[in-house]
Amino acid sequence: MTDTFTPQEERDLVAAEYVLGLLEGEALMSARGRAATEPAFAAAVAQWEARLEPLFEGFAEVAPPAHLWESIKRSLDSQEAAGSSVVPLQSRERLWRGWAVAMTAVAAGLALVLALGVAQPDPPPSAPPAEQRAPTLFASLASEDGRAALAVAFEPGRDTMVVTPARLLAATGRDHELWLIAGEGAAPVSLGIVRGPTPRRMPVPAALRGAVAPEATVALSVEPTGGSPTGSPTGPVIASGSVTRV
Amino acid sequence: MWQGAHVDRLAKTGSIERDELAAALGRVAGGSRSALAEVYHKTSAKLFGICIRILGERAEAEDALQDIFISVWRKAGTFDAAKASPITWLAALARNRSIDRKRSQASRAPTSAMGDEAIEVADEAPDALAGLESAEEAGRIALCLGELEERQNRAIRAAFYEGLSYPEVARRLAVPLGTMKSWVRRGLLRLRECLER
Repeated sequence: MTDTFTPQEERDLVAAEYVLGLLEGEALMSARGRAATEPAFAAAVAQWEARLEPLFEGFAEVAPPAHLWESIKRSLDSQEAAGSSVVPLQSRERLWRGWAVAMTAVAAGLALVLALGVAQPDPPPSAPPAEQRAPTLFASLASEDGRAALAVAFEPGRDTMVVTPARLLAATGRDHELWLIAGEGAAPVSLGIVRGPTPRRMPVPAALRGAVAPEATVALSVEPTGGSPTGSPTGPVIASGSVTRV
Repeated sequence: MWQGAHVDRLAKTGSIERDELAAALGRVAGGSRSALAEVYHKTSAKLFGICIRILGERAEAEDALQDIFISVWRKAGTFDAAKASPITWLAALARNRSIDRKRSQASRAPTSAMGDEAIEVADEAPDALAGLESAEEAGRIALCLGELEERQNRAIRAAFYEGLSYPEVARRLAVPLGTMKSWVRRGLLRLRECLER
């Protein structure tokens, strides 16, 4: 018994499954990427959110224990005392099952080493103390089919990024292009073509430096060799990841 | 997520509370701890209810709620009162974070059957929490869910209220994964059709 759906129905159903939380692993990552980069899919997601919103009324209220607010305050205090650049990575929220996790973790570690170690072999004498610099920001991406997995580390000045491909296999006549989506509803802007297999430092386009921040999304699309001819993604978005503090 | 422009059905006490909450979130974005305390006071019972329902365990739910309010502290600036009601924004944040946490627990635990079309004995005991959903029963979506086949209704509710994934819902209702997807997808199309009627 196989159901066949029109392309519009299929898109709408994946949007509903995404909003309901039925998806996991690669299917979830793919849907997150589409929500960030595909306007028609994002609109379908917003419609399902609106349709299902009344269901929130069905959650019963349960008073949390009195000590919890004190714990939250202590946690905020300790984070502020440690400085805003040392906010812990909320890694548990971003974990998904499967090999993609391991692949991106490998890439993440490599990117961090590169970003933190290799990136500044000769720090200029006027470099500000580390605790005053902006934090390194980081995104990891992996495609559903396993052909692409990479990590991106944005250096504190936001003018360069280190792209570490754990795997990046482009078909003949195709390239992978990296995009930054500043926030919900923002248009993707190209960060450049990425190719494997070696890690590379790449400039971040000057206009994008202000947009490199937590809540932004980095996405990877398949484009004709040399990149999208239109300035927007033309091929499928095969992977995406949130920008997080390190 | 959950930022469609739509009527706020959650702030049952009306627009004053909604406006106060939105204003408090605005002050949180500006760095006010007392505003965060106000948001906590007004919403923590609702959000904790969501965490407990999805995570099924008090200790985990307490950790989740703490994470959620730390996120509110950091992310309040991304709340847009023109696009979402404040309580919906917060409830969606709580639900999404609780589901993420539940999934990452599952990824740390042995997952022998997670991806399989495993068949287990369904829990046929009546849902002890079903009564808690009564507040929503008057809504149009409740009517439309009621028009679905019982198994479709149960599956969609289990996904929403307990954060169950496809394989988990399939095991709950003791059907193969492919069958479950097919039921849910046909149910979702009927639900959409009913809501747009």
